[in-house]
Amino acid sequence: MELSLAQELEGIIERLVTSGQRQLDKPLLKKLKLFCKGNDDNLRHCFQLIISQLHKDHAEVRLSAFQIVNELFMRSHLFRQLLLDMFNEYMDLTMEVDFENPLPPPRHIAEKLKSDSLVAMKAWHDKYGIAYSKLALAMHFLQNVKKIKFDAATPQNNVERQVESSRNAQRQIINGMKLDKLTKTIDKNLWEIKQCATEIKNCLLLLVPNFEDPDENLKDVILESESATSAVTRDTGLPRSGYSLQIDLSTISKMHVNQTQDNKAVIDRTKDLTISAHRIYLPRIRSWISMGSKCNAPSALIKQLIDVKFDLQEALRKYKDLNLSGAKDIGSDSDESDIDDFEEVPEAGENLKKINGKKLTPKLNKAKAIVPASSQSDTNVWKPMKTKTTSDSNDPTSYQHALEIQAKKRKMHEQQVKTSSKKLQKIIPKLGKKRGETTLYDKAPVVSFGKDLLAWDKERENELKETLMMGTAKEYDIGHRFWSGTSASEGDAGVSDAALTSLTTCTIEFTGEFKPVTRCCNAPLPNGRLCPRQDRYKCPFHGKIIERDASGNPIDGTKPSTSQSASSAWNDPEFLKDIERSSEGKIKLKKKKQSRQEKQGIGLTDLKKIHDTSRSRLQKKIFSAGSIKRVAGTLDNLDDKRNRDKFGNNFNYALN
Amino acid sequence: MCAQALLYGQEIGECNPRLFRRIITYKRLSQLSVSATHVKSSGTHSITSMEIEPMEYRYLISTGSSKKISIHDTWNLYRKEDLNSHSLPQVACVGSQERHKRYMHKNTVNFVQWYPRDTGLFVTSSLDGTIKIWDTNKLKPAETMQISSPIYNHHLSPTATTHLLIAAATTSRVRLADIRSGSTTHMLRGHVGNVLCVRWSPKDEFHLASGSVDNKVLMWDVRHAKSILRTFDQHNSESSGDPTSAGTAHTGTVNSIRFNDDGRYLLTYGTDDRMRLWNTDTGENTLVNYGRVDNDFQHLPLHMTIYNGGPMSSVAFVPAGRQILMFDLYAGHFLRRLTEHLSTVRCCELNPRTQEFYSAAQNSNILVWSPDDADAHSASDVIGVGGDATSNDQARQMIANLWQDDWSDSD
Repeated sequence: MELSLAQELEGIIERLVTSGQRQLDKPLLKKLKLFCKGNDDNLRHCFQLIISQLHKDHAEVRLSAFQIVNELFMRSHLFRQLLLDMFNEYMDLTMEVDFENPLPPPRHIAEKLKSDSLVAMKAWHDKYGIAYSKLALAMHFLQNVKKIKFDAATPQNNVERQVESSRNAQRQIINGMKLDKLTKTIDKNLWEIKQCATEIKNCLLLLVPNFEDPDENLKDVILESESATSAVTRDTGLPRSGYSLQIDLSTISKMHVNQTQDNKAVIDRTKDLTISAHRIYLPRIRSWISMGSKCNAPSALIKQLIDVKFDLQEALRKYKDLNLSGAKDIGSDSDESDIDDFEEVPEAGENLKKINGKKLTPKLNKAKAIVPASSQSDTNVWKPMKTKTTSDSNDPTSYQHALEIQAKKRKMHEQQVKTSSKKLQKIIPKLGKKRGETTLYDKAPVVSFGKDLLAWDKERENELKETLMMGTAKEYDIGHRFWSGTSASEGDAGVSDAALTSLTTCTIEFTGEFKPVTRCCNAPLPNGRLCPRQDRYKCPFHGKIIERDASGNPIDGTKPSTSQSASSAWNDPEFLKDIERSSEGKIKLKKKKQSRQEKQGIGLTDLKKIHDTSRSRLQKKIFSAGSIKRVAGTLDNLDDKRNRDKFGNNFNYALN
Repeated sequence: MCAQALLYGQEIGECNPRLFRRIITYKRLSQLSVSATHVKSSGTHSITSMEIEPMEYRYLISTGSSKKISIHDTWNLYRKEDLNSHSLPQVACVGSQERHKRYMHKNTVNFVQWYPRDTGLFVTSSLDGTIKIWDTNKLKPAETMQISSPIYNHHLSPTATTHLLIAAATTSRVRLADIRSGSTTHMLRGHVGNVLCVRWSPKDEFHLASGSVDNKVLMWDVRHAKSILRTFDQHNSESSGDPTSAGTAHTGTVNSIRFNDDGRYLLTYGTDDRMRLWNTDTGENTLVNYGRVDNDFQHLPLHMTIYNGGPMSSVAFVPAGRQILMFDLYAGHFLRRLTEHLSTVRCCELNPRTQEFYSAAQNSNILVWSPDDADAHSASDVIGVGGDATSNDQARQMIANLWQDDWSDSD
């Protein structure tokens, strides 16, 4: 055979086998058959190539090779003879006859290969069994020794059947246990859900009278019609009773229930119920249904569960139609604004003693500490400095002033609502800048302290002065020749301000207030939900926490994947070439080797990828020689230390 | 030389009749193919041993891990010339009925051998440590000898006229049991591991060869007090003549040994994937190169067989994994590979009269190989011997059709 021909044949088989498809490529196969047809040498070579492919440790390669074998087996007598000569090997490679030589991964392809080859085996035997004794022997071997039943939909051997049946039995036992547990929990807890559903319904009935109820409607209609003939014509002056007024209610798409004093309790209760229904009952009942269907629960039970679920969902739908949630939002907004206003009101007239803490500059701190006694004497309230806003206004305590501030706030709020979110981002720093100087003290936290500390330094000052004086006096009394007070020369007035300050300063630690974290990360998760992790700054999985919309997309539009794009730029070969060119060969960038996968351009599943699980990656790290050595070294050191501590005095150990 | 010329040569006395027979036989052996005839298997037990009786070459006895002993009639083959597969008729079976249980072996039967001069007796040995001498007609043991250690192999000398000793290969020694007295008379010490195979020499009725797990093949003279006659050394080193030297025949377990017909040569087969042919007179390795013969049977005996066709046409049949290999015994040439078995082959046996070959594997599957079936299959050469000729013709026609290539025009 010519070399070029052999190479071409090899190429064809290689391509057929590495396609990764479940079906062979028809034109290529036709080409292959053309090569083999009527040319024994080609056929022999082809056979060798196919067998070598069958030995590859990849189920997809083997599957394709088997398919080629199947095609040629049906065609050529010589091929049949060649294959039957090594049928042992062939059976090992495709049918997983020997349990010590299982088929290679991926597993699902291997299963397909196995069942396909067994089915083909049956077909071959049916057709050629008489003429080829080996085929009959192999069939006998598979049926009687390996106990493979070919009549079944998927041929299995004895061991597999046993394994499967035992697995099924095990599964049934587990299912039964699960089912028992499930029915118990359902019996215990189902009434809660039912109750919730009926309660919601009843609440809604209280809020909105049911017009659909046929009996009540009828009564109303009758009543109305009776009064209509007499009273309505008289009152409205409409000429005839036959006149009908049609009101199209469909245009009113949404119902609104106004919250009043009367129905507040009902609405609140409904809200609570719906929240708990959404959060607890619906997920619970869903999980029950899925679990029940998994472990073959009786259909009556599942039906009951589904009915309850529909009931609850119906109730929730009705509630949604009422748009109570919208009302609630508005209400909560106003509440919040109220609270804000309340917080912003200057606390001028209050009797609280407040002091600025940590955030003040040390200079201010000092000033606070050595407060002149005069200012303290006339008021109980100590103010470190008047804020600009209060000083500017004429009369900060007046109602007028308070209103003014409130009006300002509202304006600001409206502006914020109007402007888009992007603009909002820009506005906020501006506002901050405007009031930057003024708000430094506003921002500073206020810490209250007890009454006893009010005159603390005042009272103590004299005392301390005395003691200091005494200290110096004592030094005089000692009358030591060498050891004398340094401040001796200063005399009585020598009690320095600094010393006094250091003694009279009372520092109150301020560590800041605890604010519970309310921000969620909200990055979209693969399961469709949003990341629920709460943190001030950074989510451990999704990086810095940013503002996101309801679907988890960042609001400001900047994606955190800038680093990726940068790195992709470095992977861009054109870009790298440009760099090389511009640097005129000074910078030489290593070209990344194209991965083998790419080079071959084949459609086979990457077996390495299958094995690349989180477990294997962890294993690689944990059980790497280096880390084991390090850990072992540390443990050894600890042991040594302990032994030294314990037995160091024992000569027997000390010698070691 | 073509068959016609041979025939003519034989007629005019130009060709030695013995040579003629050998040539024909050798030719037939090279045509062996699996016969449509088969032996019905019972279960999936491994068949450890079988033998064709040496009187008429008619009854095939086989046994295995099922502890059953079956006897098949091979002559029946030629009464029914029918291509539709049929099985060898079973003449007798020990273990087929409940009442046999009483006197059956308790463990795997490792070897069965016909009494060399009569089909009225056969001898079995088992891992349960007993040798049983059976009365073939009654299918009951006439004598049971206890050896209290597992027996891997035994042998009755086919040529002995003065003694009736059964050599039994047990753990680390060879025991000699006398059929006449029913006692175990001798104990031959020299091996340090389980002895897996033992054979009486056809040349000298008192000489005995044994192969063991300790890689040694020893030659014994049962009359001598010292017993060890010779140690076979694979490297033919100086001390090989010395019977006490520690030379090894293989670098692995010795599974199987076989003398040729005149007892001058000994063929051994070991788990080092090698076969060696020894000169029994000098104890030297003839260094015949058989190449590599796969053998992964660590601790069990295998049974190869030899067709004795003189210096030019002797053939050794060697079970190697799932195949049986045919070698030229003296030249070491590889002749053929018989690949029809689907599990490991344990033993094989040749019927010298008809050149039929029987092989048994671990899945209780005995295959019958016949040189005649090859003739029968070649559709052009139809020899109608009995049976329904027309139906046979049809069947052959069908097979011939199936043997045709089937390329479709669209390809």
